[in-house]
Amino acid sequence: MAKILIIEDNEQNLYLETFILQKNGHEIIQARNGETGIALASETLPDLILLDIQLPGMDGYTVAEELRKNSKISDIPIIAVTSYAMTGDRERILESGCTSYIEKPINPDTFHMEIAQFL
Amino acid sequence: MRAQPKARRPNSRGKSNSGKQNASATKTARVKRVRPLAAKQFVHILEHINDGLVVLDKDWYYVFVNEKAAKMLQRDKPSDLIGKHIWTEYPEGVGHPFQLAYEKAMKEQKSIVFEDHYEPWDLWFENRVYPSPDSLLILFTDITERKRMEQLLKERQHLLQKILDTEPGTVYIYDLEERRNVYVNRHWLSEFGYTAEETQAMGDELLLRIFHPDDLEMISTHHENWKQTDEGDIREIEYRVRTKTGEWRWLHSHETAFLYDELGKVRQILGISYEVTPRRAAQEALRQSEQQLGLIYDAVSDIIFLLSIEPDDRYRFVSVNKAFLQATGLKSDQVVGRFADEIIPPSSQPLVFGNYKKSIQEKVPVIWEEVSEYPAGRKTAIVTINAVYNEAGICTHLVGAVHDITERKQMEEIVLKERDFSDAMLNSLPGVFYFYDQTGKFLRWNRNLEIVSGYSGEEIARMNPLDFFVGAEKEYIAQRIQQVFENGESDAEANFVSKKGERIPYYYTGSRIDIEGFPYLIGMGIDISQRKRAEEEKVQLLGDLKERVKELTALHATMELLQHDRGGTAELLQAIADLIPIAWQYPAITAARLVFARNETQTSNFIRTSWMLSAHFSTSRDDGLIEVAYLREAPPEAEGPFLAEERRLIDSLADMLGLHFERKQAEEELRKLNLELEQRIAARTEELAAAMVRAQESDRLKSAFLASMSHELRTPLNSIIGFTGVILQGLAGPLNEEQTKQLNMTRDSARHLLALINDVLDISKIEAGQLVILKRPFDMRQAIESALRIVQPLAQKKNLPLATSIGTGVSTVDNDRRRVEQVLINLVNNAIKFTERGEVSIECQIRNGWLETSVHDHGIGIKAEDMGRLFKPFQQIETGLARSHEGTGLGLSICKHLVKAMGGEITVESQWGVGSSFKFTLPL
Repeated sequence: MAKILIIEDNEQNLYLETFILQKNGHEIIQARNGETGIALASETLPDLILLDIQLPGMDGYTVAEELRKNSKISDIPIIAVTSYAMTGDRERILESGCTSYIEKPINPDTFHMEIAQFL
Repeated sequence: MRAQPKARRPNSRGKSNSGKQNASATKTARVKRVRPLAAKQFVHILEHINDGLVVLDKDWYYVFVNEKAAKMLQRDKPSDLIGKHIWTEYPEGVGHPFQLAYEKAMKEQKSIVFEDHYEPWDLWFENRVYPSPDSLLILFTDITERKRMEQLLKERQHLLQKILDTEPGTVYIYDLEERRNVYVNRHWLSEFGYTAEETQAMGDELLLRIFHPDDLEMISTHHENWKQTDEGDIREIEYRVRTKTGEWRWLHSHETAFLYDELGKVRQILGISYEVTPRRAAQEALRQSEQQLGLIYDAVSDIIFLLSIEPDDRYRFVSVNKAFLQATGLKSDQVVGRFADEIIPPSSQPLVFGNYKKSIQEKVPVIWEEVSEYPAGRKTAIVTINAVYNEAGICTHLVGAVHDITERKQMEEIVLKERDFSDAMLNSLPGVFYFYDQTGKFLRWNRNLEIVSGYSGEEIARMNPLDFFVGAEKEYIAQRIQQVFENGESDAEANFVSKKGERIPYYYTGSRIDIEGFPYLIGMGIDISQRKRAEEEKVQLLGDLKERVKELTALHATMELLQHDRGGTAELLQAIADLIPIAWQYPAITAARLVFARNETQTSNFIRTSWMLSAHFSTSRDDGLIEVAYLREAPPEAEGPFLAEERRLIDSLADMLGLHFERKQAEEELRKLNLELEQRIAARTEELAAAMVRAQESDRLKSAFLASMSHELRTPLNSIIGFTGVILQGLAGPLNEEQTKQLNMTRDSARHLLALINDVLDISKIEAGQLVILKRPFDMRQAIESALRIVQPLAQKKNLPLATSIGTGVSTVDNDRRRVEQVLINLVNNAIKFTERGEVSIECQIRNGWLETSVHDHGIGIKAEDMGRLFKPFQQIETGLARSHEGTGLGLSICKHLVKAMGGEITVESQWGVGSSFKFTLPL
C-alpha cells in the first residue's frame, strides 16, 4: 500500500492508471497539471510520482526539475510516462531527474508490476 | 779594240816591184853584136809570147793571131780565126766599149791602152791597141786575176779603212824613211784636232809639234830600233802628245811592222794608240803616294811585304818593311828578290800559299790567323793578303800585312770567356736581346732573336732593326730608336714580324750606351701576346659586360615598371620606350616605339629606317609590338648592326609585356569573376541559409509532426488497450466467456494497431534520421526474459515452446535495452508466426568479442530467391499459404536499422521447409 501521485492531463489515462493502481491497493493522489503536481507532491509526500511528460503548459521535464529542486521531495522516485514523442526524450527524462520511464500506451497487465519495483 | 800584246809575225808582205827594178837600173848596159831576127823567128817569138797578139786589117779581118790570143779568144788554134771577121766571130762584142776603142784608135790613129771587162766571158783584158794605116795591132793580156787581186786589195783596204775608222784608238801608219804618218784614221784626226789636209800639209813637221820634247829622244830611239829590225813583232811605247788645242795627253801605242823595204827592213809601221792620261796621272799620283807610303811603310809596326807573282805559282819578295826585318831578324838582301818559299817556313807554306792562290783567284782579300813559334815565344798574328792587278786585270802582285795580335788574343781569351758567360746569360733571357750601333747594324743578339724571328745569325748580322717591323709600326719604331739615341732610353709596343710574316705583339726596351765615344742601343723585347690577348679579352669582356649591364638594367627597370603598373597603359608603354635607347649599344641613335591595344607610344626621335628590330607580343585580347630603330644608316654587316643580345633583349621585353598585359587582363577578368562569384555565393548562401532554415524548419516540423503523431496516436490506444486489459483482468467486474472472448479480440487488435503505429513511427524516425540509440548498461538476461514475457502469450496460443539458451558469459550489455528488446520481440514474433510446430528457441552467446543473439525456428523457412528482399521495407514474402501474415512488412527492415545503429549486424540462415535462424550481433 503506497501513496502514489499521478500527474496526468488526459482524463482517460488518469482514470486508467488510477483504476489499476487502486485495484492493487495503492492510494492515488491526482494532479492534472504540473503546478498542482508540484504543490501536491510537497504537500502529500508520496512514495512515488507518476509524471506524464506530454503535459500542457509546464511540461513534464520542467516539473521533474522543479520536484527535484525541493529537497523534501527530491528522494521520491519519479516515473515518467511518455509517448517518446521527441528525439532525445529518454535522455531528457533521466536528466531532468526522473528515476525511470514507462512507455505509453501502458500494458495494463504489467503496469503495476513495472512501477512496483520502485516502491 | 786594243791590239793584243802578243808577239805576232805579219803574214803578208807589201807588194812592190820597184825595189828590184831600181837595183837592176844601176847595172851597166853591155853591148853585144847580134844578128837581126828573121821574120819567121820574129813571128815565132810573137806566136809564143805570153800576151795575146792579134793583127786586124783595116777591114777588121784577123790577119795574125798568136797562140795565146787564140786561147784567150776561146779558139783552139790561131788558124781558126785567121781570115775571119772579128765582129762576125764575136757578135756579142758589137757595141761593147773595146769595139768603140778599136774603131776610135783606127780612126784617130792613136794608140790606146785600156782595161776592159768583157762581160760575156767575165774577164778583164788589158788592151794595147796600136793602129797603123792599114792594120790594127792589139796586144791584150788577161788581167782578170790581177784585176781580181786589185779588187780584193781594194776591198781589203776599204775594210781596213773601215776597221781603222771604227777603232776607238788612234791608228797611224808611220813611214820611217819619210818620217811622217802616211795614214791616220779618223779617230786620230779627231783626237788631235787636225784635218786630213792639215796633216798632209805639215808633213814631218807635224810630229815635232805633236810630241813632247822630253820624249823626242825616246821616240827617235824607238824608231831607230824599228829600222834595224827585220823581225815583225809588236812593240809598245808610251809618250806624251799635244793636241791641236794644246792639251797634253799620254798615249800608249802598240806598233807593228807594216811595210818592208826591198832589203827586208821595216819601212812603215802601223800603230794603234790609246790614251792613258788618267792612268799616267794615277801612276804619278801613285808614285807620289808610294813615296809617302814608303815612309809609312817603314814606320808601321805591322809587317808589310810585297810579293810579285811568278810563274809556277811562285812568289818573290819585291819589298818588305822594317817591321818585317825586325820580326824575322833577316837582312833586306836576304829577303828582297828571294822566293817566298825560301823564306816562309815549309810547315806553313801549304796554308799560306793556298791563301795566296785564293786571293788571286777569287780577287778578294784573304785574312787568316797564324800562330808562329818564335824564339821569343808563341805569337799570334792576323795575316791579310791583297791581290794587286794591273790594268789588264792580271794579278801581278800580292800585298801582305801581318798584325800581331798576341796580346789581343790573350785579351780575347778572357773576353771570350766573359762573352761565353754573357752569351749564356743572354741566351737564357726569356725575351729577345739586341745590341746595335747607330747605323742599325746588329752587333750582339741572343739565340731567342734567331728562334723567334726565324732568321739565322748570318741573316741578322746583315739586317737592320726596322726589318723586323712592317707598315706604320716601322715609322713608330724608327722614332723610338731615335728617342733612345737622343734621350738615352725609350720603350715601345709593336708587332714583331718574323721571317714567315707572323706578327707577334712585343714590348721593347732600348737604352743608349756609349762605348769609346760611339753610341749604341741595347735592349730587350718580350712577347706580350698573351698579355695582349688577355687585355683584348678583358676589353672585350668589359665591353660585353657593360652591354649586359645595360640590358639587365633595362630589363630590371622594365620589371619594376610592370610591377608598379597601376593602370595607365600609355604611361607604362612610354616609360618602357624611353628605357630602350639606353640599353642599346648606340643610345644616341636608337629610337623605340611601343604599340598595344590602341595605345601607341614612341621616343621623340622615332622614325622608320632600314635598320629596325621588332618583336611582337599578344594577350588573348590584343596584340602588341615593340620596335627599335637605328637612326643612322649603318653599313651592312653579315648579322646587321644589332647585337645578338639586343635581339634577345627585345624579345625578352616583348615577352615580359605580353605576360604582364595578359596577366593584367586575366586579373581584371578574375576580379570580375570573383565579384560575380561573390555575388552568386552571397545569393547562394542566402538561398542555402533560407533552404537550411526551411530544412530545419521542415525537420522541426517533421519532428513536431512525429512527436505529435506519436503522442496523438498512442493516447487513444492507451485507453483501448488499458481498459480492455483492465476489464479482462476482472478488475471492473466478472466477465462471461463471450465477453472475455470478444474483449480479447479487441485487445489483440488494439495491440496489433499499436504495433503498426510503432512500426510506422519508427520507420519515419529512421527515414528522418531521428532514430536515437540510447546506450545504457543493462542486463541482457533480463531483457531477454522481458521480451519473452511479451511474446509468451502468442507462443502459448500456438502451442510453441519457447526455449532459451543463454551463455554463461552473457550479463551486462551497454546498449539500448528498449531497442534490443524490440528486435528480439520482432524476431521471436516472426518465428512464432511462421512456425506451426516445432520449437522456437532463443540463443544468446558471446562469440569473438560479440554478443550473438539468435532466434531459431522450425518454421517454413525462406526461399533462396527471397533472401534478398528480406530486410527491405514493405516486403512481405508470400509463402503460398492461404493466410497472408499480419504485419506491416517493416519489421525486419526496422530490425536491420536498429541493429546497425546499435553497432551490430543481423543475418539469416534458412532452409525452405526446415526452418530459419535469425542472428544479430551486438558489440561488447
